[in-house]
Amino acid sequence: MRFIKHFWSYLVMVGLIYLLHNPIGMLPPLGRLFSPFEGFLQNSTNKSTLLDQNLDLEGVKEEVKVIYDVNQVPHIFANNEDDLYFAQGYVMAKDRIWQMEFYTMVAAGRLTEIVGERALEYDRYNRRLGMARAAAKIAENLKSDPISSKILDAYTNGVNSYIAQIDYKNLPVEYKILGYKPTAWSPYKTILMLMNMRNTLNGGSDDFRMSNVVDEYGLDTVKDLFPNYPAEESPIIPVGTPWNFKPLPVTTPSKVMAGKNDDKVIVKIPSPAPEIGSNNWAVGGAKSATGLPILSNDPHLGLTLPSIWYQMQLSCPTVNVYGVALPGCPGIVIGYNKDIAWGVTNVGSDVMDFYKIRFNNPEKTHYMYNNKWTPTTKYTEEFRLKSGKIVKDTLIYTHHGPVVYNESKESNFNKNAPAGHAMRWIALETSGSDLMIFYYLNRAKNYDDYRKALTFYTAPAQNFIFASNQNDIAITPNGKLPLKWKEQGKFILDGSMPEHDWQGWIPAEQNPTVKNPPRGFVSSANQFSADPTYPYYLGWKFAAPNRAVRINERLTAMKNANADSLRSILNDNYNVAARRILPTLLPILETSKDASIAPAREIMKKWDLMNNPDAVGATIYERWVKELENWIWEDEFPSKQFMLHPTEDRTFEMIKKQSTAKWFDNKNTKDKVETINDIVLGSFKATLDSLTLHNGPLTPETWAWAKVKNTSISHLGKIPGFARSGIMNGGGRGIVNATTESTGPSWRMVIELDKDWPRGYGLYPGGQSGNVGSKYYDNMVDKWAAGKLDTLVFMKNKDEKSAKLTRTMTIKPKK
Amino acid sequence: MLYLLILIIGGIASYFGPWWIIAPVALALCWWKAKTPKEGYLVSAAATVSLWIGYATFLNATADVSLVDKVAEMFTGGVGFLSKIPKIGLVFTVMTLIATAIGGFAGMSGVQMRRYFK
Repeated sequence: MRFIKHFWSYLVMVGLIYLLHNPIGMLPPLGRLFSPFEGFLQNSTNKSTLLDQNLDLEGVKEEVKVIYDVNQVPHIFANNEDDLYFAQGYVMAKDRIWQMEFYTMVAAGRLTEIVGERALEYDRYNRRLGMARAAAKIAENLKSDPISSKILDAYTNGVNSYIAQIDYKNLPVEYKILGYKPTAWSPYKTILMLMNMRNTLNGGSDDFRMSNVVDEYGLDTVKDLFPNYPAEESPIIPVGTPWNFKPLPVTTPSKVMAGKNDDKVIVKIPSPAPEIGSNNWAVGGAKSATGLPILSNDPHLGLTLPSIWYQMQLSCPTVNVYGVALPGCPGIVIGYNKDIAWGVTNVGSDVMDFYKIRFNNPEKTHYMYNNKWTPTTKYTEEFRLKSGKIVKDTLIYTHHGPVVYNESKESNFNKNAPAGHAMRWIALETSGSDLMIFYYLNRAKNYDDYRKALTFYTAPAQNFIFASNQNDIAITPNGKLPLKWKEQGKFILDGSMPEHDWQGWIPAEQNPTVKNPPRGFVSSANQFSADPTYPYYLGWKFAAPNRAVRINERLTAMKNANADSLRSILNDNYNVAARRILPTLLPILETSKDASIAPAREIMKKWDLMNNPDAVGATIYERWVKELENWIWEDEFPSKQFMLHPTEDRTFEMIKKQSTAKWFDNKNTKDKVETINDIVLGSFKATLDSLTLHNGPLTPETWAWAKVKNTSISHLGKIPGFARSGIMNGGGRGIVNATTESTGPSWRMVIELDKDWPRGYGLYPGGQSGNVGSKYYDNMVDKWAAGKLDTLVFMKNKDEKSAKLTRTMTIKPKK
Repeated sequence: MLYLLILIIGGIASYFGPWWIIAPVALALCWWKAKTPKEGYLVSAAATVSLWIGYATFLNATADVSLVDKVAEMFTGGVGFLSKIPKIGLVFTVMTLIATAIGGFAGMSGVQMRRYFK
């Protein structure tokens, strides 16, 4: 009793310290986080955190100079390649370690360990995709690749050198909030980061949605509504470019898809994301003011803070290159050197296919393949929750790939033999070394070097654009592209038939490519790689042609181009889709006597088809075209039943040329047959009602496109307060300036090639620092929103003087 | 005097040690100097709060970007009645509550434990 009387306050104190030192559920470790001596305030920065620095580090062989410019871009000067990639890892980790590690946790399906149970379904999905297992295999393979292993090891050592010296005070604030610490880096983690890119760019499929459409309406309807090439297109390889090779033969089997299903197949695989695309183009000397090529690239990705890109210059006796790198990966992914510039956009060919699998028992120990019961491979996945609890899941692999999460009834074949769907996916391909393409492009001097570099790349297939100061321009949709019969994988395939396996690969040298085309420029915007004369099947659906059409129109008209004229295309807000369809839609609006739609109709008639920030016409058009599409298709192809809608291209063709098509009727209204006019007018009115509901009555301010679109850059870990929203800019889906609500140009770059020294311009919507307490966390965002570019500082050597260089970090070997 | 001792010694210890080091410092100093548990609690809490709020104010004032604002928004999500409170008020209130509780109970327990062994 006396003990309690004298010790209760002590026990309360100890208890409080314990509670406030550790995260509880969603709550961060409050005491530690709020203590000004250790917590988030220690992440504050000011002038004093940006001074010259001398470091003695174990792992470097010779002195390395890291010179930072006004934008906090590091320019690394090393005396050998090992030191160069070591320093790259070190400085990247210093700015972005939390982000680097976060990506690896996503790809490995381990988010539950840091955010708890709420990430379990997301983790389960990512594990079922099998990315971690493939990454481990790739990392193992790369050990025997001398160059890959050399740069990966050097980079890893650099990252780990930084991690080793980091104390709690200096931990990125996200670690403090979530209550965990960085763990050692490894080449495997770098590959995991690349897996994220494979998943982002290639991790979608409409196979299920298409199979459901076939089951409902039959192949003839599919042929009509889901054609294999759009009515309007401007393919990457200009029409008429000859194919100078003898294609491999491909046999089409008599049965081209798995058997009909009893129910709609519901598998939660996302559709390929149309907003995740990119633009790139290069004009040849004939079109430029200097007589030498100019190249531009803007990859469109989900907008996040910290940004997906990190600008840097890498220089040592064997290489001097500037550009953007991916946090977690050695080398420069998009950039330029003295002689060449290169960039990428996503190809978007169909590289994720699903196979219906017939198992012989509920344990799924065997599956039918080539008339034989073939054993499956099973893996037990363990999810460690933040609470310490372990959840287990069994993953089944067939020779096609993993059997993914399947919500449909397990009795698709019969009660005792459950069905499943296995996935063949390019991202799980473990051959090759994607890092090598960047290694060689970083050092490339001419077109031949570019072509050689391309051969090393696997996935995600990219349209690699190229320009050199020898006046060559080129573009190549490149990566491993599966050899398929026409429409193979448009629908769910039969996993028991060997004929349905991927037939091999399109030989790398037969990937579509063009060099110095007569039109004087090359470009891509995720549209079809080539027209139907290309002898191989790459997929039936690519990004809508709108951006490509506009870019090619502008480049065709362009003469005496300079960096600024290319920058103006980056910011082009012209709405090609509206130009195509409004002349058909507006006369229908005129037929209405409804006075309530008149003001909006007048705005639409006067709209200059620019998705500018203040354009009310753009707001109405963008919302209306979505509404209209739903009014036409949602009754027959309900998304809830996992059915795909026809493309915008096909929808527009029907509106323009088949105004009496049966699809205009809303089949949910029993006693009325709707006409195209009913649908157009009804959807227009519904759009106005919805806009009024969400934004108030129509005024130039409340309905301005930028206001309604409200472009936001969210924090990677979705921490409110660490994001930026309400960014005032134009553009949109299908616009060259592809800034939507949450996606957009994640890096903009324009390079003027030169015999002497190239001039580079660029920026991204973020900042070099991953620290939310730094003004370099988001310092480029406003300039980006305004459509401007920074002049990039590409140094010839470490002794070059410039007013834009602010501080030096000198790394010396530890004695 | 006790207040100043906790402030100075606690400050130095906090600068180098873990965030909770102020607790054993306050406990020891109150064992030595404080007369009553109440005095121990109040003086120690006041010193800890002064230390935390003083240092936090300094860090926030010299920072390029106010992390106080960002962290406040993290908790309020920028909506609801909490977001109407000035951000710095919200964050400093949390700091004060934590510092009061840790410092106060530490100081109080110093006196109480001394009495147990006496």
